[in-house]
Formats: sequence, structure tokens, C-alpha cells
Amino acid sequence: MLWQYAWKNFWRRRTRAALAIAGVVFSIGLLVGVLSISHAVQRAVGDALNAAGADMVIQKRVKPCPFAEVKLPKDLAAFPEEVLGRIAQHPAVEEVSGVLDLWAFYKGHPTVVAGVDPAKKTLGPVRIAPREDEESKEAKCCAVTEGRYLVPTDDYHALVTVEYAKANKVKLGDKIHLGPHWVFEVVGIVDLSGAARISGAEAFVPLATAQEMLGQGKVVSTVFVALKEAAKAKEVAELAVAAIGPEASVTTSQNVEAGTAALAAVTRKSLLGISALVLVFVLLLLTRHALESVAERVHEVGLMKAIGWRDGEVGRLFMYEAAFSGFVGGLIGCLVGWVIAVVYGAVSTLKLPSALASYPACSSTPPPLSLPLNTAPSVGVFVVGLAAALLIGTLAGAAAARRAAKLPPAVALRRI
Amino acid sequence: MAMDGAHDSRPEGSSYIRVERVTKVYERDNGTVYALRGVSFAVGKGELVGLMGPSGSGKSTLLNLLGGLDRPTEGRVIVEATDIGKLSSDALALYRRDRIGFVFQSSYLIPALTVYENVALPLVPLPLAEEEKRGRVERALEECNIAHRAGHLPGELSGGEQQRAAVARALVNDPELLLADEPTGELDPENASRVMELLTQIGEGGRTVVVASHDEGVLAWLPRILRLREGELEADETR
Repeated sequence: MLWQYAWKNFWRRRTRAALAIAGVVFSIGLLVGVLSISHAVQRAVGDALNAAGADMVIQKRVKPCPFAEVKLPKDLAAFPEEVLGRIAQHPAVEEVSGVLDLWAFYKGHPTVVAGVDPAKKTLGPVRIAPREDEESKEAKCCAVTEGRYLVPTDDYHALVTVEYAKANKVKLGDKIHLGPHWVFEVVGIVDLSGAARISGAEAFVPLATAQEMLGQGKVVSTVFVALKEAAKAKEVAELAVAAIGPEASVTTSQNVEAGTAALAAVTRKSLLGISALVLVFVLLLLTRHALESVAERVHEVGLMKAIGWRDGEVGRLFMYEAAFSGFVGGLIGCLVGWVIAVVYGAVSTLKLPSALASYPACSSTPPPLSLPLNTAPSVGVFVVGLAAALLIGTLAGAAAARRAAKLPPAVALRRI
Repeated sequence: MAMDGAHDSRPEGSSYIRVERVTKVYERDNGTVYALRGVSFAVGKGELVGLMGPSGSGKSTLLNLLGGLDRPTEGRVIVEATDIGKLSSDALALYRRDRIGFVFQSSYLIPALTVYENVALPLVPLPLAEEEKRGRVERALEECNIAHRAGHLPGELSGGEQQRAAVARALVNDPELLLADEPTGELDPENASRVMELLTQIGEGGRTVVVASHDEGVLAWLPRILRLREGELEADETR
């Protein structure tokens, strides 16, 4: 069989084969690495939204007054709670939940506080139940490790994070000061580790109480939206912008990754562009390499034709050999790319944009912004990598095959 | 017997090969080169024929035309009633595969392949069972007395052994016509004799053999000699 002979021939020319494979490994490793990292980033960002049970997060960005003792974090602005009702009316929306993010200062020390709706148990920064449509009932919810979740009758009751409780030596039933005038009873301790938390906070209190603390009326600073139809996210986003104004900021898993620290400098698209350029460059190198192979083996081509190989058979031999370079290089390149992604995942710290969990620099606990990168191998990425490798191998081989097939036997033999 | 270049020396009915007023012209950068000028002759089935002549006389060009590696500029090359100059590229390849065996001045064995694999090379594209291929290769190796070197690489063989392996490769498809272009050109006299002995044995076995050479020592092995000079058939000598 011709392909068996091509396979033997391919391995006999070890140096040449190794060079061709190295080129493919380099380009496919880069491509698969970029795709795997990008895939892992998307998954990580998706995890952050999944942790809140949300498909979309809506905020408004305007710098608030910096001098109040209870204030909105950094550049967040509050907007009327009635906006939630307008968004909820859209047919694509399943549920909405408003959160009011605050920095509450007591004796000069800030605590990050989130006012949450106790009735919304499946949506928000400390949701305690999975959504009905979630495949995994082990979604990152149910975070109360001690005590209980908030109930609608609560007012000056709070949940605190494990880290806050540890740092401030707080136990269930203790009283804590949030801001200069308010004392809350700790009714539950929540564990927010394992995923980045949008609107993560050190203490969670009923939304109405948080609104009272801020003193701006019935307002929220973040809206979590669960969609029935993800395809209509754009319409819902437009509705939010219309309701809130041009300062509205809408975050979904598609657009949040561009803001992550790890990919801030070089976006996924530009990395893929670089990978594509490298692929084209390697394709040109492989083509040249394959054409040189024909030139070096012109006597072999002449001999094959003299002993009765047809033009197509001679061409196929070169095509198969180049395709094998692509196949072997592609397999190794996929593994190399995956290793690159694993190493990247191990050494890099990917974080959500800080606006999604606005902790002050002097907070007593670290912000829950880390996005753990899951760089498990993706069949889809490997298929793309292997297909690209076979494509460049075959294209390079096609040029060589055409040249070898067209070489007149008498001319090839005269060159012997 | 001296020949007119345009004259055929054999009756048409008994010919296996008929070369009729063949001219081959190459267009080069430095002008037109006439490699053959109106050459005509015929060869009967099972004949052992020598093409003799100095370098540049057109021997290799004529072998290429007989073997379907090239097409004449003018005239016809007819092998068993088929004008091979009119065959398509694929049909010519099949003609070479089914009917022709080539032996070159150098053995042109592929260095990375064993003798066995080199001899099997013509069979690679054929849809034959492995057993059938193995049988053919072993028969060809036996016929050329090189079976004991089947597992060796060409670099491990003497010049004579390499050329015998090349002859085995030419025979593996069981061709009717064996074309040898300076087969002893790179061999010492002893090995040259062995190769010529092998070629004459092949001829005596019923195959038609045409040997091109400028070596007068080869003459002794060949019953018929076609002498070429400057692209023209100068003489057709039968002994």
C-alpha cells in the first residue's frame, strides 16, 4: 500500500521528518495553547457568573461622593430599584435580583457590605439554591456553612464570610458594627471560596437595611439577571441601558474576559491572530521544505516513474509524507499546547475586573476575585489543532505532489 | 552491415519493436539539439540487442523512447502494434509498469531501503496481496543471485551486487522488454562480466533485452549491435 510505504519513507528520513514535525509542533502547540487558555478563561469567567446563578450583571459607573461614612465602592453608582421591574418584564428574563454594594466605615475601618434580597435564593452573590434550569444541582451555591441564610423578616441581621469571621474573631450571635450607626447580629457564616464572586462582600445584610444605611432611597448598584433565552441577552442589555442611562455597564461571560487582568494586554483575538500568522508562516516553511524534498529526491522521482509509478501515485507519496508530518506534529503539538495551558493555569493569577467586587485596598479580608483556571483537555480544541495540522501538512504536500507529478521522467532521469 | 538511417532492416510481421524514422529534438537555451535523426530499425521478440556508440550519439535517448519515458519529436515507436508515443501519461506509466524493466548505469538503489525493499519498489502501488508481492520479489532476487543480500542496505553491497539488485528490481514486474543503459559503466571487468552474463541469461529466457553501451567489451556478449553516431543509425550488425 502506498500510504504504508510513505509512512516508512517518512520515518527513514528522520532529520527531515524531525524538522518538519518541529515546525508543526511549534505552530500547533501555540494554537492549542492559546485556544486552551482562552477556553479555560471563558470557563473561569462563566464560573463567576454561575456562582451567582446569573447570565448577566448590570451596574452603573459614576464616581460617587468619596467622603461619606457609608458609600458606594469606587466608581459604582446607585440607580432606582424600579429598574429591576422594567428589566423583569422582558420575556427573555427569568428572574432579576438587586444588590446594593457598600463600603461601611466604622472607626476609620471599612467593611465591604452587600445588601441582598432575602427572597432571592437562587440569584445573587450568596445564593443558597440552584436554578431550576441548571444541569448541575451542585452549582456553586449553598454557601452558608454555619447558622442560616437571611429571611424576609430580618433587618439588622448579617451574614459574614469565613475570612471576615476569622480576621475579626466573630462568631454566630455576635454583634458587629457596619458603619457608624448600625449594629448587626451575625446569623450565618458563608464560605465564598472556590469561585470569584461578583458583588462579593465581607458582610451581607437585607437590601432594605443597606438602602437605609446609604440614605439614597430605594436604590441598587448591581442587578443580577437570569435569562430564559440566552440568545436575547443583547436585547435585555439594550433595555438596561435605556432604563439606566449611557453609564450602564453590562457584563456577560462573553464580554467580561476582555477585562480580566491576564488577558488585558493581549486579547484572545490578537493571540489567535498571531497563531494564525504562525500557522501561515509554518505552512510556507513546510511547503518550501516539501519542495526541497522533491528537488533532493528528483532521481527517486525519475526512478519511480521509470519503473511504472503513475504521476498521481508519485504525487500521492509526497502528499502522504507531508500529511504524516502534519499528523505527527499535530498530535505532539496538541500535547505541547495543553502543557502550555496547564503551566499557564498553574502560574498565572486570573482575576475578575475589580469593579465586579469592589474591595478597598485596606479591607480586612482579600477580595474574592481569583478565577481558578480549569485547563482540562478539551476535545474540541484538540480536534481544531489536529485539523489545522493536517491542513497545513496536506497543503504543503500538495505543492510538492504537484511538482513531483509534473516532473517528466526523462528529465528527472537526466538529472541523475 | 552498414545501414541507411531511414531504412528498416526487418520484415514488419516479425517485429516486436518497430522504430520508424524517429527524430528527437531538444530545445536548449543555446539552441536546438538533434539527439536522434530519422532512426529506423526493428527488434524481434526475445532478441538481445546492443546499442553502441560514443557519448552523445543518442543511445540513452533511444532507450528512453523505447521505454516510454519520452516521446519522439517525429516518427513512431511501435511495440506490439501500439504506437507508444500516442499513449497518455498514465497509459505510458502502465506500459512501463507492465512491460518494461529499466537498468541504469548506476544502480540508483534508494540508500535508506534494504535490497528487498528496493526490489519491491515497483510493486508498491500495485493492488496485490502481500504474499504475491513477496513471491515476486523473492523470485527476482533468486534470478539475479542476490537473495542472500536481501536484508542489506545498498551501501553494504559491492558495485556488482548493487547492479544485480537493480536488475532484480527491473525484473520484479516480469517485463517483456529489459532496457539497460550502460549497465557495466561503473563496474570493474569482473563484475561487468557477471552483469552481462546475467543480462544474456535473461535474454535467453525469452525476454527482449536492449543494452546501450559505449564499451566495446560489451560487444562480445551481444549477437546484434545497432551502431549510432551523432543521432543516426550507422550500422546494424548481426553476428
